[in-house]
Amino acid sequence: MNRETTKTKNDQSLKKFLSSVPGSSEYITLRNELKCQLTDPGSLEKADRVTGDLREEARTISDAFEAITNGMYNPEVFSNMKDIPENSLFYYWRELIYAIKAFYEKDYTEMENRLEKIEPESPLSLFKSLLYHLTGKNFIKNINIRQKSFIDNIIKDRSFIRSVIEQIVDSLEYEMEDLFLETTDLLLQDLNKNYSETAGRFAIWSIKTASRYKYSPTDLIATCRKSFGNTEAYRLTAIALSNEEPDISLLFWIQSLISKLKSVDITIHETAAYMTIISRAAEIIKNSSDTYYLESLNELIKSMKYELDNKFAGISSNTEIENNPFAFLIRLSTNYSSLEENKVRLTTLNANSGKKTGKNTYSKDVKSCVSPENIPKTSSNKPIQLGLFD
Amino acid sequence: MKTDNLFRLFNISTDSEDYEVEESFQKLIKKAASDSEKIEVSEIFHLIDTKEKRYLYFLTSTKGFEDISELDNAIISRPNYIGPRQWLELLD
Repeated sequence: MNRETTKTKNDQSLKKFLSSVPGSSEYITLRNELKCQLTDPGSLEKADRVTGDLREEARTISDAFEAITNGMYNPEVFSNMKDIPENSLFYYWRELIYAIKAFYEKDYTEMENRLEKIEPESPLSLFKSLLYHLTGKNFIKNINIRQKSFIDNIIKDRSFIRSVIEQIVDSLEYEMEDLFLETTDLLLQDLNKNYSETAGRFAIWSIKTASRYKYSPTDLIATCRKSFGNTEAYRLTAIALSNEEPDISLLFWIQSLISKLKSVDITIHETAAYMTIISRAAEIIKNSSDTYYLESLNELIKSMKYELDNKFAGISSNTEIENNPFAFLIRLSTNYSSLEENKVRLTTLNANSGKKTGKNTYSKDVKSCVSPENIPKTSSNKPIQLGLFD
Repeated sequence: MKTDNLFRLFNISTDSEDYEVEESFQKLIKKAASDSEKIEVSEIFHLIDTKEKRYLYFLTSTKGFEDISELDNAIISRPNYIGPRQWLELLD
């Protein structure tokens, strides 16, 4: 049967199926036929007379297939895919998508289990032999040009990335700051085109390494902002600096939250999670007394509180900004989060401050540091990263 | 058990409802081969059993490479992603 005849037959089956009464014997027979013929789930997403559930399944499969073949993990789509039942038109597609996912994760047992669920009559069974070929389980003897090109593209050498990595290693060995920053910047942009998850992990490594070598991460963070958006760039930077510079990391967590609050889609749950992270960081660096740092922190806290009050009127309004920013952050977190750890931090804070001052909730030293008149005009030990908040 | 990405393990997202996470948890418990694996699944479940905790996990779980050589494993030794078109073309 040639390609045109097959296509016409498939179109006719689809039309008949869409006209049949759901649940009827004709419907079930046609559904089983189509299940073994469906070569493009996207065609059903766009077709007329498709019911809402079927269209939804088609969209889920199309989105998941696009995501998995592009190397993007879309948890929401994968979560929806588990609802597609065995008798669905898209069942073989669902199993193929899981098989492709397992292939890229090198979980070959899972890949085989999924592929074995695809019936040999389905055109998708072609991918069984191709994936077995790619994993070395069974090599295809008579491979056609199109299949060869497909396989070649999947296993194509990327030695240029290896040479870039060598350049980065050299730049660190010889302490060539410009070379390090330029190369990591270019690689970050390149990775983000096809490997956004890996690009994020590389961004963290780059910023962390720059910080360790006392290189300015400003350009790297700017590239992150272009590549991932402000919220994500600040989050990645906060993670990168969490061990080496927890005080600066806290500033980036707050920046990330402010940026997210300015968008429309933040929920109270996500805000609460941010507040827990911020409270944890505040606890770690609560004795910090660097005047420039406290000035920057206080500025960010003001912006954050403004955005929080705008977004969640009433929740934070009963917590006034106090002179000790760390105490304020720990206290504020309990307004948003239901997690016990935040309450424990607040109890400890209250107990300790009671011991120190008798009644105040902050130490005199920190209080005096955050007063503007006590901040010197210049500082010789101002961290490079603070320049980002000027 | 691969526990590096709990969302993948449970097949959920930050927006999943608590009952969906509970369902996934029950499935994983049934699949667990040993008591120690069941304990591991239970401990993991408590890290993500509410929406707030799922966001907390999501926000903090991204790990940077420990060493640049890990990029080699993550990218170079992994198959290329070629997009959906080339896969669909084989079915034409």
